[in-house]
Amino acid sequence: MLKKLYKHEFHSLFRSLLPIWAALIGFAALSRLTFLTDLENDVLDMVRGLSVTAYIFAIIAVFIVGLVIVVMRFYKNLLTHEGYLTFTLPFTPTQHIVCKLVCGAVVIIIDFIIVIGSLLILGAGTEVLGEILDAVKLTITVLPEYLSVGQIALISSEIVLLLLLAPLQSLLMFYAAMALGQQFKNKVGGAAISYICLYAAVQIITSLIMIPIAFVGAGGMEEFNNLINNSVMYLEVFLAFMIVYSALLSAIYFIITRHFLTKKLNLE
Amino acid sequence: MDNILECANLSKIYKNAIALSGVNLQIKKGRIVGLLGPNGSGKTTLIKLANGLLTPTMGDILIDGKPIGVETKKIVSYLPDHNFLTGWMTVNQMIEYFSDFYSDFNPDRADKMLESLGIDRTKKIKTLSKGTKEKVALILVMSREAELYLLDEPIAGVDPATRDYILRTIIANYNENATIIISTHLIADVEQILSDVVFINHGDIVLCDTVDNIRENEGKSVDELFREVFRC
Repeated sequence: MLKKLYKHEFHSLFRSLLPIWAALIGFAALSRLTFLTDLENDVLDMVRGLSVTAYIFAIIAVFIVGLVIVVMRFYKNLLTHEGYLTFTLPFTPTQHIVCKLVCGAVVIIIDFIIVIGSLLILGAGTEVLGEILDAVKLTITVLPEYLSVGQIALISSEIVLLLLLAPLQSLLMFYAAMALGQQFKNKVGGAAISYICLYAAVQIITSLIMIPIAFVGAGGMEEFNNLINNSVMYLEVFLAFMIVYSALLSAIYFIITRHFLTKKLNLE
Repeated sequence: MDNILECANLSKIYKNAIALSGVNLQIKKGRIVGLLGPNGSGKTTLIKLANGLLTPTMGDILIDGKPIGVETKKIVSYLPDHNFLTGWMTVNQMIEYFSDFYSDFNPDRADKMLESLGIDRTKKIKTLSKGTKEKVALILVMSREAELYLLDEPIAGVDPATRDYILRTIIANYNENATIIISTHLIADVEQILSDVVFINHGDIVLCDTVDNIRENEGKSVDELFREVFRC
């Protein structure tokens, strides 16, 4: 049964996103085609210019419109008239939030994959792509001279984990703001105010935490001095801290969302 | 267990108003119950609490002896007092949606009703007229073989012909083991199909009896008694 919840969620998101993804790939392919010939004439220049401009706008659309679609899906399906059906399906509010979160995060990851794919199409057969691939190969060859296998594995895992946590954290912040916002008479306005307040609060708290970390080396604490003298270990610890911090913020946003959708639901 | 719905000292207090005040109520299985009261009397709040769309401030509400949750949602079919269908979906997609999530949904029953009304199943919900949307919503809700139907104002704001169709649909799909609770203030229209009535006013239950008892003991129709009880 839970699989069907995910099926309908993906169907709802993909029906709006597939045309945008297709447009991005289409404009990348068109732009690449216009550069296949060295022929110079006004019409071809105009087509080149237009296709590259359209491609750039499509990249922006993929990220911005993609995020808007994911956020609006949460709002419409849970907090407007559609919520009367959604919340009377045989699932818990937690299952609905997790479903929307997972599907939304998958969409954001697909956005990145599609954009990278479109760049590969744009650079196919060109020297630029070859140079990038050479640089990647060089990095892979050189890295083991400076870092142990364990360090490479740890740092890579930490970066991957942070990249996975980033969309979850940003989506949950939107969800928490919308869950808080529905307590106001004007729900959209309430959500916007809640988002600004949450954002400001997190920025202040993050700054308060980061300042001591940045200056800890100057504090004369021997252990920490040793730690930051070893930049690799510092990077490992810093990334680990960022993972914990991001997970903690995500958990707080999730608890806020769950509380308001369970105990304080206020549908239109 | 004889009762499908039980409320014990159930209260719901909003920021500035008491919507339900210590309601004690038992609804037996296999009845068609009219939840009757003027606007703002607490009917919708009670129905929302039974669907888990609100949480009680105090007291308990049980469906088939269970607290509101996933298990009760499986056996309750709910028609809200306004459109709740997804605009971009077609009628066919809405049927698939209900079939996917409710194991008691009977697609054949929905097909027959849609066919009898000549509703185009390939049309998107947002393109349908208000009356047709209400008919589709009712068809979906009544095509479930649920144990409890909670119909919030199903006949408000529709023309008399549609009103007749809605009441006929409710009766035609009524299973004698199931319970139907119809919230409305249009008593005369529903009185003919009710077996029990619950009068609610200012969040309090003021009367709970069978229609037969009211007619025998009071010598009045439910509509007449309602007008007397709720006289302004």
